[in-house]
Amino acid sequence: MDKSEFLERLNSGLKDLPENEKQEITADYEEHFAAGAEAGRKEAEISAALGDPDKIGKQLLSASLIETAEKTGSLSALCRAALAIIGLGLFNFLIALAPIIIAASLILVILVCGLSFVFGGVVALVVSLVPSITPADMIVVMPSDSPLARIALSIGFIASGLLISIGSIYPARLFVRAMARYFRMNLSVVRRAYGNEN
Amino acid sequence: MNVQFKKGVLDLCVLSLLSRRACYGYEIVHEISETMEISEGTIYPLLRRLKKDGHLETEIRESTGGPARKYYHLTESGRDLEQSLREEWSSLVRRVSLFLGDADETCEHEPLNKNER
Repeated sequence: MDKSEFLERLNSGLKDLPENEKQEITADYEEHFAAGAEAGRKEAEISAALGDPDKIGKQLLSASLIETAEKTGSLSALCRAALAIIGLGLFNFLIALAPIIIAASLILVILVCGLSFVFGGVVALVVSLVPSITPADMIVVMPSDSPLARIALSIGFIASGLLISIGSIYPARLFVRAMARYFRMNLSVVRRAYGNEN
Repeated sequence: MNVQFKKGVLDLCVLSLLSRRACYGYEIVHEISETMEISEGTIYPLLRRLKKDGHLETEIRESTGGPARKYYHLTESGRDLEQSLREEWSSLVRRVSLFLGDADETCEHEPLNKNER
């Protein structure tokens, strides 16, 4: 493998990284090839000693995604990091993804609950404002007959639904950060192990 | 050398090298690979991690005749980390050699747990 093929394969693994990080990484390896050439080594020799560019790419990618997930609590960064780590064969699929899936489901339940409140509130509001459009087979059961009380109640429902929905973001962020930290702790050990393969 | 042995000491070797003098990437890789067999490309992710954690800083220096090079040097926290990893390493080596030596003799002369005597 010559220099350009090595860099190309490395770069294709780094697509998800921010542009400036990609450039920094490429520059590091370019400098390495240049210094190796100065020392009289062939490109193929240098790239063979460097190791598999796909693995190095995944390693750099997972490190960067974990950092993003830890800083921003982004679930998408966390999932992509988990996939890169699984791709490296460092984590078992279930160990990496099961906690993410369980937590995501719980958070989804809270979110659906909140959205149901909003939906119910909107229907109640419409029916209270314009009783004439109530479908014939729909039975409206509300604690008060006064339109004003009904409207207030509907708005209350919508507001609490929105609060529940927005509230689900906080445990989600908290969980993503905790998982990212967990990955990082594990990787700081495993990543060093990577220095010896190939 | 065993894979598990190497994994823990790679950080220490890099930090120790940089505690002696600032180096550029190729130099670090070259020096380390003289001592142990490694996949050379993985030194760079390690350097990035140490830099992100604030243990290293880099500066670009012009080289005579060649292209500019990125030199790595330790920060204060890098020196502290090197010191603590070094101590951990020597204490591990001491304990393991003690254990690998004659076990009876070891217990007589220098018990690991002094309360047991």
